[in-house]
Amino acid sequence: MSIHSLLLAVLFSILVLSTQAQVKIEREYRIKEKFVPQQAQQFFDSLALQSKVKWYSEKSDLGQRIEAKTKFQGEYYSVRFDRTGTFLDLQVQRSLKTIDSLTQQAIVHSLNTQFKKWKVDKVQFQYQGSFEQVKQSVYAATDESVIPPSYEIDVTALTEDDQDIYQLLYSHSGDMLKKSIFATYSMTNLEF
Amino acid sequence: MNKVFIISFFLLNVTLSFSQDISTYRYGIRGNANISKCFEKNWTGTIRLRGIGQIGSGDFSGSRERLPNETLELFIWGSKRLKPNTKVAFGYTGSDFGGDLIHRFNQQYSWVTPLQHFTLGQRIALDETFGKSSIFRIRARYRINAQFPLSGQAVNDNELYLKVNNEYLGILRNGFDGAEVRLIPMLGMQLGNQNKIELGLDNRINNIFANPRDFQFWAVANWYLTLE
Repeated sequence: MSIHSLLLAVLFSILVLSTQAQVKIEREYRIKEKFVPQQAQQFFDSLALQSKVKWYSEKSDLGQRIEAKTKFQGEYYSVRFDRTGTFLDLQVQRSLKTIDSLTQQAIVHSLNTQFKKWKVDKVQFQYQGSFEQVKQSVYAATDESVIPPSYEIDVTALTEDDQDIYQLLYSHSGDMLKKSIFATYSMTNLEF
Repeated sequence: MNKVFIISFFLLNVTLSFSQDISTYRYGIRGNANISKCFEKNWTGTIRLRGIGQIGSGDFSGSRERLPNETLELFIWGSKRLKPNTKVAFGYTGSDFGGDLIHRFNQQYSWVTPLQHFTLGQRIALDETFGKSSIFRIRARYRINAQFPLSGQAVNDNELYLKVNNEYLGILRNGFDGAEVRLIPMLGMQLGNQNKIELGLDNRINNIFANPRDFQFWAVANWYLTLE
């Protein structure tokens, strides 16, 4: 075997091994509106957000979901349904500062306790409940919501030896309800 | 963000349209293999092997010549993550230009910002180059790049993405010695969470504020592998 063949074989082996080592938690694909369950479409239309919507199919460890994403009055909305079109929740992207100050303090304290250094990538107000309650909450001012939101927060955090991306769910009063870790992707191609 | 790219395209086009016949061009291929290894305390070691193959050159008056030459470069980097998505790195580059070894020391500060529809990367860098037959020079660099997923809102396994690099360099060699602009659109694919390949076109203009300008066009292939 020549040195070139050997080098190629080693490179190919590294490529195959590293591909097998992947971890996957969540993945989404853009889908056409005609593939969206009618029930989901009707609910989304009833919100009357009057803006262009993009539909996604989201596959994760929780199963398959249908997700509608849109921008309305400067805020990003995400409405999730199960695969039959039953409404699951509505999320509105806002900044950490828009959360009630006492809850905000509790969340910041929780993050400081868990991580040495952290940076918030995304905060989403999450509304769960009946159709009508959620619809009313969409149009209510943040502190006048018919149903109190919980807060889904994506955080990039430095641990002792590594960097990881977490998704944390906090209750309306700032108690942590859930903590997930995302599969992280190397960003070497943007750093070097 | 879009403004930056529009300005870059504008700069490239204006320079092209005003380029006089005396301006020169070169073209060829470049290949980069980057292998990074993560260590404790957020340190990373990176080795990059770069091959540059010039296929031809000429000037815009119509004269052409085919002077193929090859260069091999070896980069060795050490980097430390200071904050989430923020890195500082120091490196050494050895280049072999026809038997003459050129040394380069690199320092850089880079940060990555995940946004709603794409990921933005920025880098401020400084490098010092010297060699037996090369005058000492310093380059100050700023690069902005963006990675756009072509499916969904994030790049996942076995998915394609578009990456656009735009870099500005100021060169000091016995005083100010010109500036360079680079624009590099690339199509990439994520192969597993720590492995990616990219193919694209590297466009450069040297001596952007003077004549003769030197235009470079390179077909580029990049491979990035990160070992945990």
